[in-house]
Amino acid sequence: MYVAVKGGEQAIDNAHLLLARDRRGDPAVPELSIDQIREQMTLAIARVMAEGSLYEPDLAALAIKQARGDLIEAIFLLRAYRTTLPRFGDCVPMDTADMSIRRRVSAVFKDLPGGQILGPTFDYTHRLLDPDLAIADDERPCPIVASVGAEPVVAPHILQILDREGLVEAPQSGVDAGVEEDLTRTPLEFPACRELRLQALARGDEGFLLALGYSTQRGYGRTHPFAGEIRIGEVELSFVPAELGFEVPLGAVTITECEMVNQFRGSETQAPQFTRGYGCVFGQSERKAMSMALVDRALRANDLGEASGVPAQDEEFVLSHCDNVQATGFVEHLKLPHYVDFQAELALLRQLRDDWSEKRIAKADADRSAKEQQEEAAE
Amino acid sequence: MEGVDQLSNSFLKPVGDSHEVFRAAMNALAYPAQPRVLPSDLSPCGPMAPGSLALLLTLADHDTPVWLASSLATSESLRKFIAFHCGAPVVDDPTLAAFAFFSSPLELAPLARFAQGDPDYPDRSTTLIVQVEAFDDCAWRFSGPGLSSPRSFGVSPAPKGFADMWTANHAGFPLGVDLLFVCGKEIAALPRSLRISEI
Amino acid sequence: MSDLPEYNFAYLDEQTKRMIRRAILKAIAIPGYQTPFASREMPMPYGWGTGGVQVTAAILGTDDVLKVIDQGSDDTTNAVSIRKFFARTAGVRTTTRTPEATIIQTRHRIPETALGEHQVIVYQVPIPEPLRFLEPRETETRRMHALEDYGVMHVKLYEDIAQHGHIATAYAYPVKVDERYVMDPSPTPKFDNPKMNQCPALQLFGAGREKRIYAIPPYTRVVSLDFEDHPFERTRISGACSLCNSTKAFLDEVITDDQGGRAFMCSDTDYCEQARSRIGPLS
Repeated sequence: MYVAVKGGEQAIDNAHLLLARDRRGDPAVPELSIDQIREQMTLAIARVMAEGSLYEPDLAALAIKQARGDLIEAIFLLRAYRTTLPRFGDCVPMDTADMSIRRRVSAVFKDLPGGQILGPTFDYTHRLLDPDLAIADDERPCPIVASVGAEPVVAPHILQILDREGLVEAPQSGVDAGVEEDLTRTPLEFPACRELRLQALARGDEGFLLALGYSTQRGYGRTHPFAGEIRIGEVELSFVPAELGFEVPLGAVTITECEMVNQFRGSETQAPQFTRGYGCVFGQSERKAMSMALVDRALRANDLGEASGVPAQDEEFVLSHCDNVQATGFVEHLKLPHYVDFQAELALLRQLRDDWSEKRIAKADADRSAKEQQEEAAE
Repeated sequence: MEGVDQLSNSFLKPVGDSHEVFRAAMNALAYPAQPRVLPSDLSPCGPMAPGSLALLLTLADHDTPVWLASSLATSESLRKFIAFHCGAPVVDDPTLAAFAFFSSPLELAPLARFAQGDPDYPDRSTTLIVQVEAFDDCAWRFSGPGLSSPRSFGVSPAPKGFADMWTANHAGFPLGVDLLFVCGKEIAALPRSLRISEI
Repeated sequence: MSDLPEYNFAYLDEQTKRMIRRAILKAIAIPGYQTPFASREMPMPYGWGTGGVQVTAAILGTDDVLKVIDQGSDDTTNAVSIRKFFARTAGVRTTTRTPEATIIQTRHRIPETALGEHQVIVYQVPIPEPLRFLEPRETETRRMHALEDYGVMHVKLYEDIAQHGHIATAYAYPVKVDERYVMDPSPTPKFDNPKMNQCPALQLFGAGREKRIYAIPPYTRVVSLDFEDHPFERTRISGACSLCNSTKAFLDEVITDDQGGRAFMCSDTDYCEQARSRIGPLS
């Protein structure tokens, strides 16, 4: 006789032990330190901080270690921690024109004030596996950077130059003073304002945004984008405590900002001009910032009267599905037991099949007797 | 209210006390039109009774604009209490209020001046918290969700024409306001879902 | 490295609890209406009960006795995990006995033992919108609720009857609450639907990922949608529990061998255990 197994509790405890063992791997190999992860896995740290919505490299490193390198799991850990943090208020809006730039490229002008700064990029590396990196650290000379990139540069935004001539739409000033919306504090409502859309995209899954941005390039909501400017560097943040009444610096964050220049439009009252798409994320992540700018621009299709119903233009579709912590939870919850529902479905299906068989038999009987009658009549 | 230090007039155990007050309010709405215990060790603040203060501390904060009936609005100590203890903005426009406070039910009319919610979001309505002198069980008869059978309930002083006011409030369902009555250490509620008939 | 915080009673901070509590009060006042709330990221995944956990955390007090079930059982892994979470963060007493519990958090079942006025049942809800699979857009379904326009739902149920001869919905069977809102009862089997009608206990529903809370107050009319010529039927596998012989409780089917042998037993483990302790073990 089968008896329902008791032991959910023991099973969970055992699973945790096995997880800890596998996380550590071969004990003969030295354990990773938080410092190593923070210093040598910087782009993983950047993604975890950006999508985890919390700028804390040490905690991101801890999360990556705890998650065995599963970045979505690490993002989830950071988000769950973020929930418990008290909120002191909103920082003073940062001005990315003040950024200490380490990398900055524009695809629309050959040269520009402040110059093109290639900075630390994979762009022109040949993707050949480098056996040197497999050699232990102390046997390899440390890379020496002589004069390049020693001094960070401060430079105005390139789109400002186009703006001066009215060739590009003016940046929307966005948030009304004092009414900062925050989708982590109030449930999202549709249609959402652009600030909330940008917040959702900044937290959104890099892969999802990459695919959506790519789809606009392939014709599903084409926006004719040019990379107006991509800049990476440090921006100072400050805060005005109510009791002090003046700005107090909080420190600097690394961000990647992308301004896309997109196809122009005009109307009877408005001369033709380029439009904009905007992307901005924590850390160095050009792929994410660029994808975000493409999707931001696509989502403006409704306001600009060019909507054609493709996925990247569909606000409800994009914003409801871009969060990877939500998505992974709901996809993976299919692992939880569903046997009660399955049982109910099974019973229904059996009933429907019985009904179907009965009907078929009844129909076959009816057909047969009709045929017999016909034959009788013919005789 | 001389002699009461309003800076220290707050929950002794903020987590436990606000939980108890919330459960009292929740049960009052779930089992409406019947008084139940509202625990509170607070002192009054100006014209505001301890029970109302307990609900204020439990439910209101920076995110919830509060509106005060004229009998309460003039109390400087109450305004200071709200600013210091819960940080809720005090508003003059009743349609902006998440919570409205009254020191007497005679100030209630008209209910329609408060936020009623909108058809897509009927929850965006004002909750009215009203101090009364007594609960009695003979004025009106209520039926609806939360009541296994129709139930008599009344407050004193009884506002004139309350049955008509409530009929109009319920007629707009799911729009409308919800009432929480406070009497000493007791609370009773009338959610908008209740139907009324006069006895 | 920064110090990790000490967590508040029942994990959530007081400001979050206030926000959830306000939503609960509104939900009770508007039975069956899905009240939006600013759901927080919880330390368990979305889809694993974060809505139910937030509702429970907002109403739970030190005097409460908590029962957590999943598929009717106290011992399924997710039920164990959530019960442990509250035992750890709130230090509350937990129980598997339905009558002893003051708060019951559940996924996919309503206990067989009738609930009383001293109890609150909290349902974990994956998709709170009963119209979602007929209309994926929130902006559209919100209008339908506002206008009380449930035509699509009736059309869907009617098409089922035309195609199959039955309403082909075995769980998450839609109900109408107090003659106004069409509501998703969460993925409970339709066998459980009648238990929601005129229930003496308060019923709260939490959907964390979808950021909605809704409620059925005690003693509220809850009607499963149907048609006059095709009335709602409460279905159950005919047969008795192999452990307690119950012919009334909802049964789970268990595969017992490689040849497809099957046995049935109560999905509500507490109900089954109590029945067995009354009658003694079956031979």
